[in-house]
Amino acid sequence: MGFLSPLLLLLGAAAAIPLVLHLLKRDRDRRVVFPALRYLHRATREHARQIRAQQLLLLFLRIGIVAAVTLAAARLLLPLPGGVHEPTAVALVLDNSLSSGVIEDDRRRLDWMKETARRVVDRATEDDLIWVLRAGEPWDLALPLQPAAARIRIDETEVSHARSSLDEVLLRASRLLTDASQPARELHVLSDYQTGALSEGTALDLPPGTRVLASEPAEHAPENRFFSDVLVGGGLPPIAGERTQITARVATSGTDPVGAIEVRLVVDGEVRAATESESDGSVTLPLGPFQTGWVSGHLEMDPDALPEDDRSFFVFRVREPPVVTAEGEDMYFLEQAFDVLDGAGRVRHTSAEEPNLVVLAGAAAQEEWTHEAPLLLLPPSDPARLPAFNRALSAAGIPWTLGVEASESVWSVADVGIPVAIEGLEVRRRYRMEPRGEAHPRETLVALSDGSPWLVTGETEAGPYLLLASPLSEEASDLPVRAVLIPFVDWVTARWAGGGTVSMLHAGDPLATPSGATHLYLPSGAERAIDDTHRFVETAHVGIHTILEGDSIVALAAVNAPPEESRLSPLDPQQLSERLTPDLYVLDEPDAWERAAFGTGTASEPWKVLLVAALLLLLIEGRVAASGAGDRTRDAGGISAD
Amino acid sequence: MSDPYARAPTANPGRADLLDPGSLAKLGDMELIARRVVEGFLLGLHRSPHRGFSAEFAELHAYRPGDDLRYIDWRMFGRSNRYYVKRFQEETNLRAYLLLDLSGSMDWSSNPGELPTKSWYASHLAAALAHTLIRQGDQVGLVAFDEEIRHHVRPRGGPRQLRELLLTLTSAESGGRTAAEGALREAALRLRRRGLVILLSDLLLEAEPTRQALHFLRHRGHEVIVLHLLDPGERDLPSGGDVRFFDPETGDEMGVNVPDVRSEYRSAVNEAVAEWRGALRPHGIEYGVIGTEQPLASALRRYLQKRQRLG
Repeated sequence: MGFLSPLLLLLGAAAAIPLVLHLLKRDRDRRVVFPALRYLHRATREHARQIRAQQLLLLFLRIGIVAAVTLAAARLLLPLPGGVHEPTAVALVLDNSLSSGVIEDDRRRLDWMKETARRVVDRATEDDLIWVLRAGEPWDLALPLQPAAARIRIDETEVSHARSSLDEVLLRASRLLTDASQPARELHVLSDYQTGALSEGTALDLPPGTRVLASEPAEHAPENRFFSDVLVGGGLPPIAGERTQITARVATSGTDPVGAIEVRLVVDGEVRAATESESDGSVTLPLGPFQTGWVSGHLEMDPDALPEDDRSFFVFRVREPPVVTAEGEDMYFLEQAFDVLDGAGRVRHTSAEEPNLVVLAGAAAQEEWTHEAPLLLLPPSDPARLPAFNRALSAAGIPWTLGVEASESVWSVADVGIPVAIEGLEVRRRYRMEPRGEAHPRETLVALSDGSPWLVTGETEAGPYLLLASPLSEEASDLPVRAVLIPFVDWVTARWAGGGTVSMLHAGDPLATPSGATHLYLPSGAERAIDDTHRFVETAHVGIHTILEGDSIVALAAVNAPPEESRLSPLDPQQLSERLTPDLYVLDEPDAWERAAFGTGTASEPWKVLLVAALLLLLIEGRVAASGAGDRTRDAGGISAD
Repeated sequence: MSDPYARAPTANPGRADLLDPGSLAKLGDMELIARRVVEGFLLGLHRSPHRGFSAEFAELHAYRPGDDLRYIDWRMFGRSNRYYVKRFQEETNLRAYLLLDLSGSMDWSSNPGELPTKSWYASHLAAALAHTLIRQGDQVGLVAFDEEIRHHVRPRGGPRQLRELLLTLTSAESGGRTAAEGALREAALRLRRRGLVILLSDLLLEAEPTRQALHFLRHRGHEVIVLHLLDPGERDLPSGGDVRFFDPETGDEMGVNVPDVRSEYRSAVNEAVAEWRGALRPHGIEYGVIGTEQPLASALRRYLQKRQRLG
């Protein structure tokens, strides 16, 4: 209970007036000569109890009138639901991750969340501040919104296919509420709480007194099927006219039993192949042959509770066998590998044509490079020639410097970022690679067991390059003498000799576009410009992204949902309570949520009721007071003139 | 239901009996007022549908079975086609006592200047009654009292008696407490043969001794009329909130919140009136409430009705 205008409570002192008058009236009575006093004595004697009761009733009525008017003037607030509330800062977390697209009872979870959020916002006043924070994309600046703007933000929220982080958004909410100036704070968490959505650990560091309202975790997850580990051609795009295959794992989550699952392969809008899979089984479907150019398609299965992940898109570029050439020392093993691949039709090993990939090793790498093709650079075996090699790297704009190791050691290949199984290979000699400057983007593809880079890539103004930290000799590493050399070289030529990789991104991952790309089309058909960084980050929705340079398509990219977002197992409620706060309001209905929202200082201002009560009391008081006057005609008629 | 206390019309300036008391007081002295009231009253009777009534009133009475046929007035029969029997002076001569309350409570008006005091009203009504009675040939006496008998005029007839009565009434002053039983017993002692006793009082006195005295009078065979004078301000409490009421007669005071007790007060007045009526009428005592805002004619009519029954 409280008052919006407490100073006006001073009016309440007026309530004492009837009481004081009642007590002091004898001293302030008007004196009237009245001979018929015996009738008055008689009246008061016979009706003394009634008069006393009437006087007390009048006293209470008058005090009640003054009290009701005073309480109305002071704007009494009663702790009743549905009334006004203290100015409140509300962080409204909408978990619009992929799993919010689950359809239950013919309704998406996200729609339930949005309706609940709207109900909360509808109860907000202009004195409240609301942050609508999405766990998934699109990400927005965390600006406090007025109710109308917050409602628009809620209406605009759709299922995000990108990877989302409920943890991160809760931390943001916690910080925002801590900095809020409103006297009341509330955190509303609308989520399905997938397993892994909240990390284990200590509870959120929320400001004291913050009320936390959270949706109730589902008791069991609906059955969901989705694709994972989709791979075309073992990770290498097919050569023109070559048959290849696509493999995928059909995963399931949830507790409901799942029977055989039909998987269909769709290329260019036509079903090209189909098969059945058991739960958590793998499927392999034939693909091709194709002419040179970009190929896009998807694998699909029948829709289930979460239809967003029932397709898995892929793209690849079919190419002619790339022309490769190699110059320099220690080329024996590499030349052998080229010859094998040439025999398989994967490359053409010749110096008679303009190469698609040039391998430069040792001294050859020190000469001025005149090639426009991508380069695979191998350091010299003799450390004495390393300075000259570094100068050549610097001159070419490659931001790496190689140094001689102070002590000899043996390392193993540990962190592999390429689709070739070279883990565990032994490296006995390597140069220490150190980045130099920040001029161009660079990436470590393979690292050794000590964490140092072993194979790096990047792009200079002349084009892309690959740089290995060891010579390709049997003394330096096991790579040249192992069978894995063939797929390694095949991958290098496929990836860097103009064919590219099978580009498979997860929603939310940045998309590296070719250097000349100017814009792209999203799966929805919307056009987006590509800036100078050539990193496109708005990959929020699954589907094929078309990248253009002017009017020409220069690349395609397939974006799929992150597999972890497809696992719908709900969080343990106990874990939810530990992560958020022990004083958690767990709610499962929009109505209950609406009632619970803005619970701090929620009160109704019953001024209308008070004024009506005052009027009623006034009428009653008038009636009781006038009962002395009564009906003149009736009473006068009681004295007959006869 | 018509209001018995509504003021009578004052449109007829020739009928002083119909004037409201406030207007009547402006006409002149008591003798003039009494004479004009009575004359107006009798004039009204002549003009009433019951022709010959005034004659009956003065000299004749309507024939009743058992009356001696020798005394039928054949001249009146010829004029009115009704039988009247002549009355003899000896038969109609009546001894009447007017008992006038002079207590302090009578000297009060709820609206001074507009409404006369009960004392004024009572004395002028007594004067009018005396005038009527003497004009009729009756003997009229007067006892004016408060807690004691202040004035006593023995019953006699004739104009001289009327003048004495008017002088006494004019000189009588109100004051003191009230004890009517003494005056009533005095009247009972002095009326040796059956007579008429008219008590004019506000009855703000000890009720039981007064009732016993009235019953005694009645027991002695006298006809008794009690005219209970009520100021309109006594029937209803004045407006206002918290008021301290002071009784000039007893000196008592009482503070009340008027709205709180207004209804109960009115009930108390009604009950008191009902008690008086209930205590007197079964004994054959005529009792009437006269509001001091009413014209004197209404009080005279009440007397007349009683006088008719007396024959």
